[in-house]
Amino acid sequence: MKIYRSYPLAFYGKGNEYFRIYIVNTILCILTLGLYYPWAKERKLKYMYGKSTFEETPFVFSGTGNEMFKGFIKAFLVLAALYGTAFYCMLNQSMGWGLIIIYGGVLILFPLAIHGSYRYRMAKTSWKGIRFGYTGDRGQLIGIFFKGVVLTVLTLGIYSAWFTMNLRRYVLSNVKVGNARFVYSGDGADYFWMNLRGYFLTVITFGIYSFWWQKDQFEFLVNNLRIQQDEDAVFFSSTATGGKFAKLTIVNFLIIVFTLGLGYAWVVTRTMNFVMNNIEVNGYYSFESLQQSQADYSDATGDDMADIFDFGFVI
Amino acid sequence: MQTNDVLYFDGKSARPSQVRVLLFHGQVHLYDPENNNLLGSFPLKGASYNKAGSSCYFYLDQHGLQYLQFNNDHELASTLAKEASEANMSWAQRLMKQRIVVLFAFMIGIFIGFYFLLVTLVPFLGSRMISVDTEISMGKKMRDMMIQQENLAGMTVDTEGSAKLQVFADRLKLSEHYPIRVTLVKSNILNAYALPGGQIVVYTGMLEKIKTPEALAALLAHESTHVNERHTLKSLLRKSANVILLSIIFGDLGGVTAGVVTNANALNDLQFSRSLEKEADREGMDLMVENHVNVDGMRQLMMTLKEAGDLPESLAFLSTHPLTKERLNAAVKYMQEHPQHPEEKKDLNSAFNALKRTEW
Repeated sequence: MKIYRSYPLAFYGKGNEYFRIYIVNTILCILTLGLYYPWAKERKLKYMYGKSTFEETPFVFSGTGNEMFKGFIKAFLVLAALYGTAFYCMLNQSMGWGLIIIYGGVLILFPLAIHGSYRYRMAKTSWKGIRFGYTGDRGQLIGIFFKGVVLTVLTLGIYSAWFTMNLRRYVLSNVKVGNARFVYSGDGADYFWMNLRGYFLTVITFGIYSFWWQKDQFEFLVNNLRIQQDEDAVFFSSTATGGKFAKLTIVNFLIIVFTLGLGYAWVVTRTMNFVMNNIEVNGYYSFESLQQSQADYSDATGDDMADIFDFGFVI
Repeated sequence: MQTNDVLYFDGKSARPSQVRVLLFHGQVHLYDPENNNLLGSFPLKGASYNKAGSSCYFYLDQHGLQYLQFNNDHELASTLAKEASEANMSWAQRLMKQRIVVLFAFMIGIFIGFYFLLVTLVPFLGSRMISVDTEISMGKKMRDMMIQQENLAGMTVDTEGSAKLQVFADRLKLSEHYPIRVTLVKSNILNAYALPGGQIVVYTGMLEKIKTPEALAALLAHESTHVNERHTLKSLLRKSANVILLSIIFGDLGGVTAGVVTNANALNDLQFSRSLEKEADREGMDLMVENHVNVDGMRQLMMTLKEAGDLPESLAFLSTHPLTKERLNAAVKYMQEHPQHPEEKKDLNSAFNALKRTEW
């Protein structure tokens, strides 16, 4: 008989620990005119992962600065080639071709970057020695992206809710951990109405409702997520409230203002803490039965291109 | 040794087993607790250590898939932590071991060092790379733009007056490398300014108040110094360097910090501007001496400005120019240090009189 139980999530990072990392990262990035960035990213992710725990066991990020450095070089070369060709066209009076190359190129590169980014990040994430993995197909993702962009443009933006959900469902439902998988079941229509309501209420209340809207969006992400293996599953749910979001945002703002920006490290750790403390995981699954199933993957190009494009990691 | 408390995750499944751990010869050795068989050996190089919650984790390889888990108070905890960090000490980690105050001071030091480096290098290199000819054509374009803007504000060019002022200017040797072109603009603003490449704009408001040819010569000499020393160019480059640096450093630290720093920077710019103005006064007077014009003209110019009013001393740091009182004192001091036998400049006098006869 399977027991229904709770699996704790926690974050043990501290502001002063991260501050140290942040200062050293900044110093070295300046001294190297930015070249140190991939190693700075490695150090930051290793810290954030290492202090986040599920069932009291921390995650591990095994990506390296070297891999990410190579990825950045490749990402830069691709983008330079793209923009270079486009500008060449524009300078030679073929404005039309130039624009087509840029828009078309970016349209293809975005889904490729998302794909590569998830493949790298997931393969470099592990828990109790079991690797995560991303098994989505590049072609399908490009398809979803194209359809989404075209329909969004044709519907003057209304389709974007369905587009976002299609992307999120595809990507998150292809994330695996060992021999178990994630499933995301958010629906486009629900997402649309939730955001419409949130937007209007925020406008009417001169922004005050925005904290509750934020909580709705957070809930929409978390509550539709689960981990599944055969018949067993665990479910995620959010315990955040608009009030808690308000408190988090306001205190973070005050910290930045009164420390002239130096308190940034504490803002980051506070926010991580908030996120982990407001997600509950409940279910039947025994995580000890996870088996190593996902392959390693060390090409960081997608991840670094996504970094250049400034994507948040979760869609 | 509390061997019972060490769990080993083998990277094949999430279920751990118990192991006995021994450390020697720079390696971690794992033994089966039941029969003491050696399960595996891992070099300390490539290992890492983490602490989260009430447990410690010792990762046996770079991928972090195989690791040991034990309680915070286990005897091995501190030993393994020490061994892991010593075997893998990158210089970034060495840096992180310093006290926060030291790190912070180091960071501030680097910021400041970098700031000064950039702020001196960019104008220096920039002005080296921009040739005199480029500067002259740049100056022409900037002048046309400024005149256009002034026209929109209702201030038009006095072509007749400009021509007469040009006659006056041509009778002085104001610049070796740049053609000095003067424009007179109808406005009661008490000012004049210089653009790169030799373009000087004077407002009629200033010209009206000038009573002697020496004072006019002083004004033109001051502005010509700005041209000769490429002050406007240097100022522009310096501003760009600041903006670039600030956006690199403070890009993600939030609007407040950026705001504070931008304002501090603006005050710094004013300080730079004031030192350039002092230089323009001083070298302007050198120019007058070279032209055998009476340096007293500068003092007269300062007296004219003084009548128009001065900022209170407490607000001096907000001004682009040093206080007129200071400039007056500097002019008087210069005259004392450089006794002169000025000539009577008949050509300047006649040009000046012709100018003054113009109605505007």
